[in-house]
Amino acid sequence: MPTQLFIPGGVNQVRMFLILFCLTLALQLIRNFGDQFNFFKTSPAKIYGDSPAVLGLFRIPRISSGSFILAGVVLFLSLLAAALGVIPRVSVAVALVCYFFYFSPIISISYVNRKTNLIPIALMILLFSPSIARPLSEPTPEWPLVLIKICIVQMYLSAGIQKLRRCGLKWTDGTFLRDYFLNHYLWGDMSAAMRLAQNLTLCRVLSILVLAFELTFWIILFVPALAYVYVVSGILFHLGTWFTMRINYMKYLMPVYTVFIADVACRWLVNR
Amino acid sequence: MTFPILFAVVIVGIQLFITISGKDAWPFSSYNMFSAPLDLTEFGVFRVALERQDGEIVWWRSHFYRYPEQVGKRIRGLRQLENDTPKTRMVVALETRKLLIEVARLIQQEEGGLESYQAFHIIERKPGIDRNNEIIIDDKTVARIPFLDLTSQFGEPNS
Repeated sequence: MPTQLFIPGGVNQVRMFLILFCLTLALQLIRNFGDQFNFFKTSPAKIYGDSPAVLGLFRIPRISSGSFILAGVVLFLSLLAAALGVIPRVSVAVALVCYFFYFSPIISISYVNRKTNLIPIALMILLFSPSIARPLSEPTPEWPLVLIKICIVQMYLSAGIQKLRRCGLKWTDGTFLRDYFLNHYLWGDMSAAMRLAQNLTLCRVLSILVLAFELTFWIILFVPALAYVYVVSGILFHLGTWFTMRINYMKYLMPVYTVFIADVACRWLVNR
Repeated sequence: MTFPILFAVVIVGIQLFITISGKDAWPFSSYNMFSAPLDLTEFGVFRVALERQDGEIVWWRSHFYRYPEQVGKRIRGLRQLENDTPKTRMVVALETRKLLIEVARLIQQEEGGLESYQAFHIIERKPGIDRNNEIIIDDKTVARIPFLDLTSQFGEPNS
């Protein structure tokens, strides 16, 4: 672990991450608002049931169309304000609250369910980060960014562990992944999934690669030099699930993934 | 320095608990997708299809493409419940009907009306392997529900 974990050093990567994270998230909000509002209007709770409670404890009340639009607008503006350094801590706090009101009613939409989970966690970490209001050139401790990387690691590691827990190493024999491809073809006509399902050897190779990727992603915490290899592998992995099964993690994972370029971007800006 | 350490311990502790327990507590998740084995041979996938006025049968597709999957999962759940008792048969029929009324509502919202269709088909899709070791799909209509049977509860299409 670097010595700057708790002792200030280097440049203010945390502030840089805040800027990149908030801007990319605000952009995604703008791009998808229309689609998400249309989904909201279809009353998804009638098919999917109620949205999950926050931490399994606090249920978000159902909101009207007007409140949904308001939550979206305030979320967008607070992200923008945080990125521009306008009372950043308050802006992050407002964005965190608005996240739950905005995404709760549309949590069942395919590219939101689970895919936005890291957003409130990252916002919470930023909220308690000491350096989000300081200049980019100021040395700051790196623990908030390491914590965000741990959250990304947990996502992949847990996904791998759950596979091993339920199926053991048998998960890599290819039949499990083949059945998932087939399942996606059967209900969604995804021809790429069917083509992959027809090739058990390829399914076996992909199963091994997926499990190896998920179970070893944590290495980036200890060998930062490998981070870019894993980040590129992660992007390819998510693009693969998008093209074969229409599972789009990149839309809302990208803002969190900017944690891996915060250092480079910050140094570039400071040295200009 | 105490606060950052305590804060980090809480966040990592929650993540660890979620990972070990395999449970979800939104926004924390164990990301257990793709981990359970699927048994597609015993119970296949159920899909809703629509019968046009000219008799052609087409799949129900939604812009929000997970809707057909979710409806199919619920139909599958109902079919797995089904046994020979009249009471269960009645519950399954009523729940299926309720679900199809919601599907009709979604189609009406997305397409603006239901006039071009006359009936729902519930189709069970089962995969199998042929002589050349290729995957083949067997589609079987397990129920046909005319729209007229539903509109009395759903209301008239907004044409």
